[in-house]
Amino acid sequence: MRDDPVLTKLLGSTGDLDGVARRAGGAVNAFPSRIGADPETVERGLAQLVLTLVELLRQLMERQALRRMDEGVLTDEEIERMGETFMKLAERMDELKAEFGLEDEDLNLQLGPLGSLL
Amino acid sequence: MIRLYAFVDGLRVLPSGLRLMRIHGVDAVAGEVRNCDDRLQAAVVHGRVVESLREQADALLPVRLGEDFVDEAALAIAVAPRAHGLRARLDDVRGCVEVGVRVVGDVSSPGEEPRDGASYMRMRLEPWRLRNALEESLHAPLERRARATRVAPFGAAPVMLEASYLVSAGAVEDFAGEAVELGSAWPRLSVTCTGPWAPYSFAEGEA
Amino acid sequence: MTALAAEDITLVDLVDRVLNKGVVLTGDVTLSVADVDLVYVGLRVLLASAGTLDRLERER
Repeated sequence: MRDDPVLTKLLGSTGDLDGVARRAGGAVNAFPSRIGADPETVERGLAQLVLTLVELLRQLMERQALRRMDEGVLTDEEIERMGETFMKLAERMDELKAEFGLEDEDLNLQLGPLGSLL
Repeated sequence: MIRLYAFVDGLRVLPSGLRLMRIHGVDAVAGEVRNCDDRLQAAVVHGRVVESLREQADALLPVRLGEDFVDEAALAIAVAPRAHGLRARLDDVRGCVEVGVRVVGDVSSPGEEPRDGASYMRMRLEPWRLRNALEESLHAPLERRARATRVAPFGAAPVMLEASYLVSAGAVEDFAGEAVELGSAWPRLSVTCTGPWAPYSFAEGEA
Repeated sequence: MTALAAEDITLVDLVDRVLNKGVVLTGDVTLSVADVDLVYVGLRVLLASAGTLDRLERER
């Protein structure tokens, strides 16, 4: 796999990449266990799709709220209430992901044809 | 099993071991495979085949790993209803390659646990502002240089922005140079630019 | 950064593309029947609305 021309595709970079490379190396090592261990069962595939969509909507709503907060059009009470809600949603998402053995990376990747919407 | 690797137009050289099938006016490149337990290895092999085809064709659409069929007939049946759209999509990517840009950085203060809703929102505000700034000052200029773009709507921290750009093959070096120059305005973040890839991200979805 | 590290970074990029992007004929969830297609289309419309809303808010 080393010295493989298909892998020599780094066109350019800025910043400290050693941390990024370490993380990438970790991700590479995690691939076989994450993918090989659990076959693409219908249930897990469906969970992946649904949770990706839920996370997408949660992010959309959170970003809208943050924009209004940034613009200064929210009351302190509204900020507190929204923050509570998003915090709880995020916690629930973590629980659901754990239940199905899904990582953040698993959610991000499955949008397919829907990924071009944002 | 017959594995589908890519759809092509104007293929000059067919690598040995592969076969070219014409289905309803679209060319498909396929090959025999045995089941491979190591999915990572299978992915690299698949990528290697696709990348070798990219340089041999006028237009190419990579097929995702796992499109395996019992025989050519089954493959043709699956491809036939998509042929018209695939021909159009091949035109969209003709002469172009994909360049990936990823911005990584850790912008959160360590050990920060939100006490309540307000502190949670304050915690989320900084990454949100950074993302907006990146979209405006890094992504937008690159988008103007590309034929099409795909931006991941969210990413696992510490990925701040992840996008793919459809760029004409001759413009890759300039594009990468621009990405690095724009990225250097963010010393706390690292920007990596990879490619040229076959247009994986532009094989599906709307332009 | 070493050459090996650069390869790790691009390996992730390659595998991500090969596993999660590209033309899909049979689909991840092997329910390639009309019902699921309709669900996709339905959700696509829903998310297109939400996405457009987000964009409009931004342009305000």
